[in-house]
Amino acid sequence: MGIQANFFKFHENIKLGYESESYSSAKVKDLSITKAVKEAFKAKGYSVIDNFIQGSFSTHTAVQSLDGDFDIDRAIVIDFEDAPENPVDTKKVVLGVLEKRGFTNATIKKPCVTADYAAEDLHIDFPIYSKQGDSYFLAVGKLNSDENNREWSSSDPKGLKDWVNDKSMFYGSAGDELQQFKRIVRYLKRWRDVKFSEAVAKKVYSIGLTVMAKESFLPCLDDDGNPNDLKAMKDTVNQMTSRGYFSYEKDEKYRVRVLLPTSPWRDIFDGSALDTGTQFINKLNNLDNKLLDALTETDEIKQCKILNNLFGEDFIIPELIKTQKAKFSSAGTVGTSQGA
Amino acid sequence: MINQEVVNDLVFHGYNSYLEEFDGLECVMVDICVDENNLTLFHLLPKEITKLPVFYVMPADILVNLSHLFYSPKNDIYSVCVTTQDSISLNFNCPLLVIRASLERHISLITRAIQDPVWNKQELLREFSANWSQVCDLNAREFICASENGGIEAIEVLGPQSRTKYGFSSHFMGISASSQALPDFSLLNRYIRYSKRAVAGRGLILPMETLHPAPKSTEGIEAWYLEALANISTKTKEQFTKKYALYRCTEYWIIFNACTPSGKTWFGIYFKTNKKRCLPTTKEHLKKWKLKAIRAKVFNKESVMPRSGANVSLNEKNVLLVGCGSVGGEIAQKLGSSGIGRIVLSDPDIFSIDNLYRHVLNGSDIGFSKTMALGNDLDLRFPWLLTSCFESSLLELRDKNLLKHIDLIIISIGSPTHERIFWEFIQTIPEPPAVINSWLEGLEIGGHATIDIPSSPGCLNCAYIDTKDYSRGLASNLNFIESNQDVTINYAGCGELFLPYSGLSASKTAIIAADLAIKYLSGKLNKSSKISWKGDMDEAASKGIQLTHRYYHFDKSLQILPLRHEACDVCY
Repeated sequence: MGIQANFFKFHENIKLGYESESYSSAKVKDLSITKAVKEAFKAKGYSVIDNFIQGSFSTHTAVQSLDGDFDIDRAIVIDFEDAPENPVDTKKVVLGVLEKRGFTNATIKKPCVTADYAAEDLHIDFPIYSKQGDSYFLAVGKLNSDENNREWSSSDPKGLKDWVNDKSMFYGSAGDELQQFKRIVRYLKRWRDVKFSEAVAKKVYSIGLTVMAKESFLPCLDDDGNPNDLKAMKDTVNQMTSRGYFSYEKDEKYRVRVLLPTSPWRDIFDGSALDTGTQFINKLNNLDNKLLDALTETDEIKQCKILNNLFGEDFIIPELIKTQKAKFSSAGTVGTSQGA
Repeated sequence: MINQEVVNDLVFHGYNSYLEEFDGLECVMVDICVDENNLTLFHLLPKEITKLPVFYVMPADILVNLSHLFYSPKNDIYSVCVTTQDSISLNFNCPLLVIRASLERHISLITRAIQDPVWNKQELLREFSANWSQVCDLNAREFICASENGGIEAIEVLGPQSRTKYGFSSHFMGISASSQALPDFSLLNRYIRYSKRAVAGRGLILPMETLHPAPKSTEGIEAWYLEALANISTKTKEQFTKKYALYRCTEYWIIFNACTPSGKTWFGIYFKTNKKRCLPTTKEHLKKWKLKAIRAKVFNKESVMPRSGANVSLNEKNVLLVGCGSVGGEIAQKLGSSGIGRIVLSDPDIFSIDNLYRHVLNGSDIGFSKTMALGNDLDLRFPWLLTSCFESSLLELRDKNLLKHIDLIIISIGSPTHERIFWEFIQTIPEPPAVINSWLEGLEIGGHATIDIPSSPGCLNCAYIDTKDYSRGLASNLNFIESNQDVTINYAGCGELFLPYSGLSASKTAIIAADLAIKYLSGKLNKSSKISWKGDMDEAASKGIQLTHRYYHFDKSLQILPLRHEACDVCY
């Protein structure tokens, strides 16, 4: 069957999309809260001109979490003309909606309003933007921030999404390469969740992994377009370890530094502990070595055992293959260019 | 360049060369001596060197019975055939070099013919046909003789149709009983059964076990004939003298055939006398007959098929071709020209004006079913091809009994859905035939063909594995155009959509499909395979059409590649 088919199965097992069945109740919650926020904004005279999903759902790189938690990252955009001078006023409206709907720990944080919905293992982030022309401004400030600590801060909420989805650096039909990159991001996230302690895993930020993977990505597809995710991931991880993201501090300790590729260009790991950087580079090196072992192994079962050890139980070790089940297309129809 | 320059050059290079008049013209003469035979070669300088310079040779009496020499009785000299003109490329910028090179070839050939009698005899037999033509009336058309195997057999001779200058009808034709088992509408039968040709007389096919060199002049024909009769086998001779020679007539044609080092040669003698007589078998009888050498060509499978590029061994093969559109039509032609013996055509479509430019059929076929028109066309072109026609769609052919005696199914319908449904049906047959699927893509981007050989891993499903997730895809992974884009053109609304591609695209696709078919049927291909041709992306790019990864990386156009896909759930 070949190792790529096992990677595809692994990917099926871990991927989480906005349309995924397992996400359906979270999705209902998301739509319902968004509707309530829009209504509350309307009552206050703020014109909602847009709302969109941010984060890994928007880039199709989300994975099922090991503990079953789901995240919602929903941006609400209001017209700059109607926006209150104090950006925290808009966040208070959102806070009120969330509190009314049974969320616990609803908090106005500096960049967004955040809350948990324990019954659904749901965590929600609501950033608020105002928009003037093509420019976005993020509502920054905590509940009691004074004038000096609150502002409508220039922002580029869609820039990062566009950067992740950009395929202009790939040759020819870039779609296949982009899809491979996104699978690799998902593999990396699952590897992180499996290999790091929960506390450290939280600090190896998904956006950090995504940016590092994109900048380091080396696609691998054969001439017929068949992907080789194992080789692509090995090459990409190797690049991630050697591109200068990790700087040696002292006593075998490393600091990790990855700049956002779009505005505001900040260090994603700003303030990150040395322990995080050190564990991160060490485990990446180990991942690199183990992927090499898998690449050089010719027996498919043994390859899967190595990968199962790296990625956890969702990377299934197949039994001795005697039959293979047909996997049918998920599309009902496809337009083709075929004729005779 | 003048003659003196040529002489000076030859003398400089050691030849005994000089200028001398021959038949009133100044020629470059070269004297040579081969085994004490003094010969003179001479050359008449042309205005421009466009072909290998010709040297004539004399005296004629020394050169009798030498191969590659052709006698010209008018001047009592011989011309020498040193090579086929088209097989050499001349350095026309240096004519002296060309003349010297040609002279060397002439001398070398004459020397070998004189010094090596065994080789000379072989060559005389090899070039028998050319030598026989020397004693024929070159203005007369070749006699076409239809004979299954060249054995002794009577023939009915049909005369040329009056006022017909071209085609079969303009020739004398000899038809033997063994040659009449051809399809009704075959090329030959069209000119026998359906033309109003007069019977000119009778004749005989006479095989010869031993062949003697052709006579060098028309005067030698009678002697050659008597010697030939003396040397035919006892069995043949008995049949000839006791049966065929007793037939009384005023005109008669004997068409001989014999093996030479370059294959079987056919030639003939036309006999004419003033009143009905038995065929002459002695010198005395011959006094009352006039003999004329005639050129003959045999019309049978063993001769015509290999000579015109077909493979006789494919004549037993039985192919079902489903889809007789522009690709299928071309495939049918290629299969026919390969020598395949039986093609079953199936297509429910009618040939229409919309098909004209990219289809092999022509305007006179408009309104006919594509299969019938194509079948007639094939019958006319390929005499030993049997065609039969169905007006069924691919899905209507899901009949195990129908496919029982088929060696190969070729599908060129351009419908991935029906092709995959049919493939699922084929999986249910215990011993299915091999299947070729062929299709092209629009905008001149390329075309593809796969062959699923049941005994070998690799099937149509392998060509449909979606490389994005290894599921059973709905579009082929061989395609160069990404799925879900509209590449069709709409001229007149619903039902009038069509895929834009040229006849050239159809031909290229047919060629790769036919290549797979012929290689498989002739035993040269025994592994399930795929093949593609890749065109330019200009047209697709101008329309903003996205192309696949495979298009950008594909550099194996026209190469036969393994079909099996590692993720295929059938070929695992």
